[in-house]
Amino acid sequence: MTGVSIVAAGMAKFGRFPDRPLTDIGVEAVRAALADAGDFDIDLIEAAYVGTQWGGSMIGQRVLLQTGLLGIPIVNVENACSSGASGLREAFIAVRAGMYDAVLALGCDKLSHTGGTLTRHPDDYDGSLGLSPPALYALRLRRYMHDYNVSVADVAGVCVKNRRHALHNDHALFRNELSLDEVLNSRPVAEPLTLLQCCARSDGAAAIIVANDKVASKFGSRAIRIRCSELASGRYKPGFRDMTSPEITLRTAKKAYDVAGIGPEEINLAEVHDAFSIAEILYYESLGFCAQGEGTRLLARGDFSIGGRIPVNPSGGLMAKGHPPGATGLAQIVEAVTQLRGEAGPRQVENARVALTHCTGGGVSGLDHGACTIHILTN
Amino acid sequence: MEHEVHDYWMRDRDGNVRLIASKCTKCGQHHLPRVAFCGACRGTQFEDAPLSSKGNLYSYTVIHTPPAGYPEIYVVGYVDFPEQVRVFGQVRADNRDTLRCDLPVEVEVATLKKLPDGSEVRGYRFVPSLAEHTS
Repeated sequence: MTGVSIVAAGMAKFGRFPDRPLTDIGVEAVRAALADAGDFDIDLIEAAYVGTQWGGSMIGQRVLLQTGLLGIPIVNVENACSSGASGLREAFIAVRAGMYDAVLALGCDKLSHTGGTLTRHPDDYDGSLGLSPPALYALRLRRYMHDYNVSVADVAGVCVKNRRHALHNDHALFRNELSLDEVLNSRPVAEPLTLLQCCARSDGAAAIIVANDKVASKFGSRAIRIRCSELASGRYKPGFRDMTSPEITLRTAKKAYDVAGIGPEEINLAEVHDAFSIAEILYYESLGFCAQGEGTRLLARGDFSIGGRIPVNPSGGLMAKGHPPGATGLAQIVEAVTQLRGEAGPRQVENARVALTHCTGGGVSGLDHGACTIHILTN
Repeated sequence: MEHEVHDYWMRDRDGNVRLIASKCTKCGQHHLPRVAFCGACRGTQFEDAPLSSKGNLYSYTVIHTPPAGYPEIYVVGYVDFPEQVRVFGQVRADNRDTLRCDLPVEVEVATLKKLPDGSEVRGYRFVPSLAEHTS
């Protein structure tokens, strides 16, 4: 069975472009990936897997129409915040199975023209009673503060760190530092979450070309190996559950480490789903980067900053890039690939050999989340 | 005109509002909302089972960014009932500073939101137990 590698990765700048069609943003990402691939012939791409949550029907066809990459199988994928990364997993499976030599994974979404917080599907039980994404994370945060006796200031340090990381990321929405006071004193959204503890909605796209060993060999050390591509759905567990320990991420991480034969202590950097301040803390713990309840202490110590033990979100994460759900998981991959190639410039993580990306979301009553994807990449 | 968002409640003989869960006849697990297959044993037979009139507030949040039709500021939370079931809902908090995790709460029926045509949607919500609330 062939190994599977990423031979090219590129993204559109994330931002707010209310007057720009999503298809243009998608094309920018495809163009960036092709530029990254050098003189790669686009017609070698034999299938495309295109993730979006809000981009509407036939997003893949609408974007790829402008690139001439049509006629091949195009599968449009919706899995909420994990849409793009779920498409990458389909790409991985198809190449691994020997069906294609090279395929495209693309993710795109545009949210700048919408207002307010995102809502759940009207049929969702908790959603019909007033639960929104920030409210769900606020419930987790409140309980985490109660169980581990930490303050919201301890948790909000995530936002300061990630905005600092993005100072040197010209693809980020926000490229200015924030003080802890600014984060804490921004207006309340769902207490104790303030506005600047919630990721912003943004517009963006990212594209990844995935290939088998035969094609990847032509790319030399620029090809980045996918060591695992894991996807899980949330489990419905009746009764009580510990909302400070997301079972879906725990379970997906265990599978990812088992399949890759790589443990959390070997990860050099991670891009994780910091949709809200508390989210990143929960994921340090459920990804095995530290023990349960230790996240804020190690954050304050600098363990998760560039230069620390396991830099988390060197790109600035969702806190700095904003969150176009279909694109987010693949933008994480773009950052991981850039880091593993040693091409991240001032935000480069030293000796980056193993990177993990984690993307989870989708509000469904009775589940921690609808979907979770984890990829582990090596150079 | 009034609507009810969910009909998972009844009034008992003492006038208390009781939520009605769906109880698996095979393993006894309670579910709210209802499911087709029991998440504990995959049983498919259920009976209506009123929950205790009191539970404990597992966590809560005060929401300042209401979806259309909701009050400008409202509180929601998850409540754990002795029957081992956790239920989501709005929380009435006359004094929000008294809210805390694990606070005992009861159930009442109230207007939860308004529809675009101005009609009110009623349903259950949680309210701190009287003994706790006045202490």
